Amino acid sequence: MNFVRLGRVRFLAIFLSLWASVVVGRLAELQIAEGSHYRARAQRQQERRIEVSPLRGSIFDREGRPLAVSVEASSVYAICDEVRNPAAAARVLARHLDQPEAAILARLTAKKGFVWLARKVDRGAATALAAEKIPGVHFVTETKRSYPKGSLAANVIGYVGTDDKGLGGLEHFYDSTIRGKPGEIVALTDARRSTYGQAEAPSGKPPEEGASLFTSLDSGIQFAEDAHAKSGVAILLDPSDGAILAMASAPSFDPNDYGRSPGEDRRNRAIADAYEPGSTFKIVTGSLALENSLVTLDELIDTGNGTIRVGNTTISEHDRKQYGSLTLAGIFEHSSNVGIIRVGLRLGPGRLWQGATALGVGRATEIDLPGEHAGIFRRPERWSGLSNAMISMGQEVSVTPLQLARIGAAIANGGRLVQPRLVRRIVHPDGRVDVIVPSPPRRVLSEATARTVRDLLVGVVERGTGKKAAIPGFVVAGKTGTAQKAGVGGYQRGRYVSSFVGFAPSDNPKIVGLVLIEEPRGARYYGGDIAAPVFARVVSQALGILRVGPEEQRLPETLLASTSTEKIHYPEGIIPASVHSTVEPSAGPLLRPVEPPSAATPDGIPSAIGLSARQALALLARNGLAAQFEGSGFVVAQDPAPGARVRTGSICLLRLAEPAAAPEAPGKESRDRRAEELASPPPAP
Amino acid sequence: MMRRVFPIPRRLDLIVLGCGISLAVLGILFVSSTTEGGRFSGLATRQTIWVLVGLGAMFAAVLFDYRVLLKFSFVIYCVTLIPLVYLLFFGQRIANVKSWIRVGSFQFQPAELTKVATALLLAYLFESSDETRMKLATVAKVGTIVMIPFLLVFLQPDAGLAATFLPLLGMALFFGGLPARAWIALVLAIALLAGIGWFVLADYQKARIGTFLNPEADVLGSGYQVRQSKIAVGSGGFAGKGFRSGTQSQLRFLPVQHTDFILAVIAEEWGFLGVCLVLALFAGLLLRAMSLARVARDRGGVFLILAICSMLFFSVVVNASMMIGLLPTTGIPLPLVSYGGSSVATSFLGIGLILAVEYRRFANA
Repeated sequence: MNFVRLGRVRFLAIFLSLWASVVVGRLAELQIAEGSHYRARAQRQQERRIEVSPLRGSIFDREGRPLAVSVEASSVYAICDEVRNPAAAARVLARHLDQPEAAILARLTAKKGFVWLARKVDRGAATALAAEKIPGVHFVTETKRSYPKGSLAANVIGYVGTDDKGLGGLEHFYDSTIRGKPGEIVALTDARRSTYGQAEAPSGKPPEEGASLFTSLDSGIQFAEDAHAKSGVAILLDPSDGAILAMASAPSFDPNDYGRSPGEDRRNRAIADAYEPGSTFKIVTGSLALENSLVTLDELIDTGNGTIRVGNTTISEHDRKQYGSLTLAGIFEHSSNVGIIRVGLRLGPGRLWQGATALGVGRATEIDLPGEHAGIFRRPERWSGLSNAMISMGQEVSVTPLQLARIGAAIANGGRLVQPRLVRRIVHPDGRVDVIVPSPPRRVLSEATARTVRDLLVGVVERGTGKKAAIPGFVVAGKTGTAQKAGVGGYQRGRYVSSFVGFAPSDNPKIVGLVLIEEPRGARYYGGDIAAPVFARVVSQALGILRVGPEEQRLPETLLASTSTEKIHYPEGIIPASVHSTVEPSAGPLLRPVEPPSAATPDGIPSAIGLSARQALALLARNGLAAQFEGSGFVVAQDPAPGARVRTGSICLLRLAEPAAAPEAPGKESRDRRAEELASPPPAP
Repeated sequence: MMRRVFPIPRRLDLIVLGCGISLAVLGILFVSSTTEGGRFSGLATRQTIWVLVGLGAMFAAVLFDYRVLLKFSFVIYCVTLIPLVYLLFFGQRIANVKSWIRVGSFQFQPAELTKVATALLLAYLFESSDETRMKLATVAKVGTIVMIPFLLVFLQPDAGLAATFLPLLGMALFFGGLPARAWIALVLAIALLAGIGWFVLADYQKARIGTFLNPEADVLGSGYQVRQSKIAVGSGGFAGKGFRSGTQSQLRFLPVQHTDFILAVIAEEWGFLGVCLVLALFAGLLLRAMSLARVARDRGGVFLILAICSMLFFSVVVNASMMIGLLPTTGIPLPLVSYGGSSVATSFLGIGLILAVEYRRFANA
């Protein structure tokens, strides 16, 4: 039966065995040795990851009122393969999404499997649509940034771009903290890149919510500022710890619609711009001279005929006035250039530079905001012969408004340089709370020097250039400043920067305020005329909102007690007590922003009729309102009228009259009752 | 007489039969895995019908005396060439080639049947000539017999299908007794020609030849297919992702997954073990068939088995090598497993002929 050569059959068998071993070996290599590599490759090409934005953390003011919130919105998408009846689906979708039916149908029948139908629709529409249960139509929660108070503090808070990235202010500075972590939908995709269906296992991960910021800003105060500053900057800060109560930069913009504002309007001039301070800088020169015992309070300094020659240059007083001999107090009150130059020359470049630098001149404050300007302060090696004199009166040096406000705070708090801070607490979604501890204030002046300068500044407001900064019922300290804007080829005539930096109450300062008005229009441009009145208005309202009592007024015992224990601290709004007592993570969302008290008062504005100025301030402040007074005594009329519904932060105009003159002065009894109501601790909103 | 032509079945080789049916069942399973629920749904049912048709043809072949078939092999051969010639002139292009004849909703590739007919004719040739050393005339005859259908199919143009005729030529020359010297000369000549061609031709000409030889797989296309196939096979791992859970195949990354790349689907869903099972079944089928060839009672039977085995071997080797990137993609299906009615049916017919040879080894006709 030897029909074929057996050798050849064997040859073939050997060849095939070899081949089989090659194939099996290669299979083992592919499937066993490199299996995980190929699995990863398969997964890579089969998954289409669609990013879902996380819920961005909110930004609150010191009372827990939201300044920036992210609203959860539903986005609707379809997996086209799963839509059984596109025409019918399009009809229903069009009704709910307010889009043309044809457009939806076109998208549903396009080749792509995954298609967005609508991004960020409001909850109501999404719920109604979900109830329709259209096969293939899915929802994913996304977020939408909203600034309930519009342009309020917009330059500080910043804004968020379309990709949920913070682009300015706190939104930018704390972006990584509050942005959260994006989640993703994992959709299986086939070779044609059309989505096949959602991965069965929940391999998509939900987005992680960002942390929320609790700032020291007070939206009531901030509102008052924004309302008054036309072009320039206003800053209010707490001198004890550098907490920023308000920071306004005008012009401003609406962060809800930032695209329509020029970039210029979105700058925060309080930190991003440096100005020549002018006379407000005399605080620095005077403080340093006192600190170095180069001048005494009773020493008379000759300002001669109102001019001083430094090198080849003659510097004169503003408006060419002549003051003769002045004490340091006189120099401050009149804002004498010649006098302060004489003082400054005693310091000399070394001590002036060193001392001013210690006060933060030319050094960034390291506030928690992006884009801070450090100011310009050259080292003495690069000074000209004129520099010592010029710098003494606030020229040849530029500072940001915030730096100037900080110098004011150092005088107000007894000589310590604070670190300005906006954010006090970061509350994470899991309940952890990071309390921001600002770096401890650094002593830069002795208590005695600070107290002395404070008294000098009180004099400026009481008798000097800063009279218009006076606030009825308070002792105010401050210094005016007027600087010509420097341009190409020297100072520019007619372009001024008017400023005022001060604090109140002088013996226990609660608020440091800085007002800087750039290029005021009109005949007057002195800081004392332009910036000081704004300071008075803004700070008096802020004191009201913070419920700081006027110093001269004798308060009933109960009220005093309540003020002293609570100090300036507001009830902490909506933050539950557990947050303060523990930092253990607690389950569930801890801090849902409660609906902002947009109608701060559900029943409208309370009636302040019959109350004293101080009581009315407290009452309005508790309802998130600011007050502006006319006259003195007790409230006889208010506008808006009681019961009216207004936005938080609105200003209520109160007309006051002495009891005798009050047509309808309420009886003493009812006044006392009101006083008692006020004395009881305000209920937590 | 009737009893001799249709004898009562006595004994069938269960190994060959079992392996063949197992492979076909696996084929139906994985055709259904990759096609159910998609635009190809219903193919598994068709495949089942074709398997049943093939089994019918197989049993008919067993019962029918293969010696009668050998006697009439030349006629059968000529008859099966007719549709190829017809197709060349009047064929409709389906997937760019004119290789299908349509009957109702079924399509059939007549070339598959021609292969069996060619195998029969070759077997008949060696049955009648009993030379240990092949004469030149025999070589010429063998060449003519194989090259006629080869060219007809090649011009359809279906290079893959045409290539499946070549193992018949190789088998005939190898076992027919072409001397070793002639083999060496042949290999050298081919290598020389290829080498010269490679240096003489410009790049674009090479590319054209490549495209001409294999029109379906353009460079990017074939690269893509091989890559996807390797990803499918590799990601299957040792035990696979589970039946119908192969993402590569289910998500249509794998091209022609129910036909040429069905082994990659098995590799993905059943892993290394699954492929080894399939290869083992083929090994069982073919080794058993080869051993049957050694006990066949006549030379025609031996060559018939060898011819059919060579075709199956060739397809398995090329298809499996292609799956893991050892050979370039050619449209050669995995016999018995890949979707394709003509291929499955004629494969069973071939198995039927193998069984018939063994079935009649003691018959005294």
